[in-house]
Amino acid sequence: MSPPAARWEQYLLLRNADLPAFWTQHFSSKERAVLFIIGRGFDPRMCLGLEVVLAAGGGGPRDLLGLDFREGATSASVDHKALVDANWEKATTAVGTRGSNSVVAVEFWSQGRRVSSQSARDIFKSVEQIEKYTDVVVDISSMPRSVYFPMIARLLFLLDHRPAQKTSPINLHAVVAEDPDLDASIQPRGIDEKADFMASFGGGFDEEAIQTPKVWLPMLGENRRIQMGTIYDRVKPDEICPVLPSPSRDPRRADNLVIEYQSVLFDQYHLDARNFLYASEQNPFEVYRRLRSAVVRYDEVFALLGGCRVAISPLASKLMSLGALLAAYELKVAERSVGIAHVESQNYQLNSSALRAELFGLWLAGECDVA
Amino acid sequence: MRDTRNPFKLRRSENIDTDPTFLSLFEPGILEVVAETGLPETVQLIRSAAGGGKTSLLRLFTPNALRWLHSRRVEDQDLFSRLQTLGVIDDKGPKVLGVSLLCGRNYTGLENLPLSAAARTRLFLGLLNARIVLAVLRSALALRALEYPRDLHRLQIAASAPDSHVPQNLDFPCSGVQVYDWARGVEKTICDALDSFGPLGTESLPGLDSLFALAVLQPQSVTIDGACVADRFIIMMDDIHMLTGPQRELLIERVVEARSKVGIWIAERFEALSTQELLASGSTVGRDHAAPIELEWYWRARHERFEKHVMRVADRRVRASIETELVGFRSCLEDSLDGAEYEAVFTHALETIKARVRTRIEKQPVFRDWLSECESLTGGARDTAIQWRALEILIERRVRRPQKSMFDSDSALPSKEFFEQADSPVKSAAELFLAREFGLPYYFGADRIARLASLNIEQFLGLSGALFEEVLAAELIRSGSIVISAKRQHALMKKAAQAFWNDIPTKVRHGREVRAFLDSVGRFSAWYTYRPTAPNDPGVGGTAIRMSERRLLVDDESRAKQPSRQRFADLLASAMAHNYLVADLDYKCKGDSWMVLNLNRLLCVQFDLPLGYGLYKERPLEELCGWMDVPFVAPRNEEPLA
Repeated sequence: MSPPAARWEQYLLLRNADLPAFWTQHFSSKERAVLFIIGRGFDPRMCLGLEVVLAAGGGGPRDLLGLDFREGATSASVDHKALVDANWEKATTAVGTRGSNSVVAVEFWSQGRRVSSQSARDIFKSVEQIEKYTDVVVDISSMPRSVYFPMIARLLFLLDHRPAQKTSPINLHAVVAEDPDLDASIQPRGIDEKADFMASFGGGFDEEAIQTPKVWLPMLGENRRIQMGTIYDRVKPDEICPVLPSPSRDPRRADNLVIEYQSVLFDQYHLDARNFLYASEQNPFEVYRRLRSAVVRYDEVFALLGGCRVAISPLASKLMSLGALLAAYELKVAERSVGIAHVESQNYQLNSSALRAELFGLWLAGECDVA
Repeated sequence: MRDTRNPFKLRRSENIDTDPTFLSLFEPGILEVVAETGLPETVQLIRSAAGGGKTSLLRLFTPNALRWLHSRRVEDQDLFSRLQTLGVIDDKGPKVLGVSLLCGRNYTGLENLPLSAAARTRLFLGLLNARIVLAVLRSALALRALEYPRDLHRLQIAASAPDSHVPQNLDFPCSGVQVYDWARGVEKTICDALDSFGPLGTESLPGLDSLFALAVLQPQSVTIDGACVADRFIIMMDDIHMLTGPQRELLIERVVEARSKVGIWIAERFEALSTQELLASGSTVGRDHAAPIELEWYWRARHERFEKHVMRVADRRVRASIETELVGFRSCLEDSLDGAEYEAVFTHALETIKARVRTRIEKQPVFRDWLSECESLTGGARDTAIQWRALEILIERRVRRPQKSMFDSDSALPSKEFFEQADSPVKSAAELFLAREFGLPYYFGADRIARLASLNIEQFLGLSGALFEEVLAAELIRSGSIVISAKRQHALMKKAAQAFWNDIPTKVRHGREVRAFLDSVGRFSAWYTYRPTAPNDPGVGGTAIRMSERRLLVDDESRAKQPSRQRFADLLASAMAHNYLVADLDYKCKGDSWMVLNLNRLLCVQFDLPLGYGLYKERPLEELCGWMDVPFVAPRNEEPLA
């Protein structure tokens, strides 16, 4: 099987001051109808992206879609309800009369089972739901991975399978506010007892008929030892290639992660030290390229055994995780067996609300493909 | 095979990458759990907390492990002969086809499909049938050292099931290839639908009404090159706890109904059980030989055997290390405080206690003979200090007696009475008190380390792995074998207990509440244990409620009336599922029946508690429910408990 063309080999990644300039230019070229999707969360970063987009001006509606996370009685959305409400109030006030506000419920549980990724995937059932927009912007800053992974994958799929007669492209953007200090101050309080593969990202791991080797690419982040163990139990890999953030703002971060996971990786999992992958902490497209090439190479190596199955586990920042999403989406479309293995947190503890976020924007589909 | 520096770190069967390594680390003692009366021949549930040893046990019966064992039957004589006795293997080779079937797969996704319950059931059974078929085919070829799926044409299946149960597009007899194609097709169709990026189409998903695979895949009907594959088939379904509740119930119900001649072992963690089931787990009432095998419960009644078993496990791991030539684990651990290092501490302790006792009974001639017996002791400082501390406990008991008897007098108590009362439990309590007061190591020595495993193999490997790491480091630095001191062992156990404690909120459902409750149980047990009279010597490691109160937790109506009981029942179930609490049901004492809640032995370290099982101090149910929100605080005075 020849490797698929790298869809995001050329990319547009913008950060901080570049973002307002981009949006201003983008909106000045023609009137644009924008759907901005945010998670109704407690995270103080929730409105940063929205504010930048609104401040860029331009004509056309600016509609806001809030995802209301139904996480259960003992969840962050209930514990931090005041923050959630304040954030939403701030967002709707910012939109004001420039567009409509609507909320869609995302059920996290059904009869005791976690269904967040299935619910998020099914928010958009057909492309008709977004046909009236020129731009769809997904701000993942206050969304859990189990929500934005399947939702963005579904949006990409719908856009990729849009009827040919629809000539005017719809742009898909992702926005994320990165703040490592704030991320560190948001600590999981209890995780699910079982890890699972996200909806649409099963990777063939559950198929009894497929007995090809299993490769696991955990993207390491701090304080995720228990999550690692839980995901390992689900994946049961034959080969492990941990992904370390390098280059990173703290040059020692990758070393510190290796020290933190040393016992687990080397003593328990028998990791070969040559298996580490390195990807930029602040460039999801670089992460995408690294993961993509690793999967393609493993597929080539294992071709004689019928190929392999690869599970990626995004335990690192949301920004890096976007790279995993892009790689997994592209490779799955190319009929490679790539899955996303993940374990969700049940609740979070917010220890600080000090905000020093950097805003990143990724243009994922639409006119950027045409160009 | 990869070289292993510290084999204790291979805590799970899945971490062991080759069957030869697995066999070299496998300790046959665990076989007695499933095969006390021969191998189960029909449906057998096997349960434990995570790390109890289920998956290792099942792996032993897989084709590749059995073939390896056959090839090295001389080296692994013990294991080979045990399996030979069970009819699993003989000099010609394996006689049993063990089929490993992981059920922690995407079955739960079926429950989210927009279909009727009946249609979802058909899909579930269709997928399960397909996977049983595929697993049997793969295992059968593996047992004959053939390549899967290339050699499937050599396999034939002659159906022995009624036609009505067989899918319409399958005709028996047929070759392995035809059955494989059918099963692969069913699995792929369902998995592709579940895993699609696009909206789900459910119209043409294949389903079935029965577990026909169990009827068709019989030992006499599956042949390779015309010969039967094995005398017996055992389908080993692992990770059943990952199914949804209704799927798990349906699976067990259908498997039992099938009355297949194939042995079916269903392994699951306690997490799979509902709160009600968990609170009833371990009861001996109404059980017969077909009852679920619950590993912790099995060992609970034979904990000394378990402790010997884990020591043999440890010895195998020590021998498997490439970094040392040691052959035994016990010899790595200092197991007494008789060395010179502790002499000064015991001497100081002795003097302190002597002074305290003398002051305490200065004006009480009743203890004159007891005192003079202790004054005349001539043993080592450690034994003497323990005797004196025991004397102090006995004096406190006498002095604090709530009501003096009419026969009590001020005449001296006879020495004989002292020796009668200063029995082993009192001395054990004295040892514990000394350790805490004078900072002496307590959690050390092979026997106590084994006890700290709390009947869980993975927990034992974690603790012993930390100790063995020190052995390896010491050998490397000092270029010679060393023994880990009692003090260092104690420090490592404390560290492990702290890590275990810290992980609770993250690791389990209701984690914060579970830990808050355990904290109260631990504090309460410590307060009760360290009372000056050392009641219930050598101390308690848990609490208990009446069985009548347990019924309130199980009863739906009672829980509906009082939400705190529902919360407490869920919390208790979560703690028991993860082995933080080990329950003994129907424990008879004080003319009543009790549900004893023993703390995991590693949690006892966190609260400086003794490690014996079965000693507890009961509390009313409502008080325990209260501990979820308001932690236990030790009373300031020494009034007796209500």
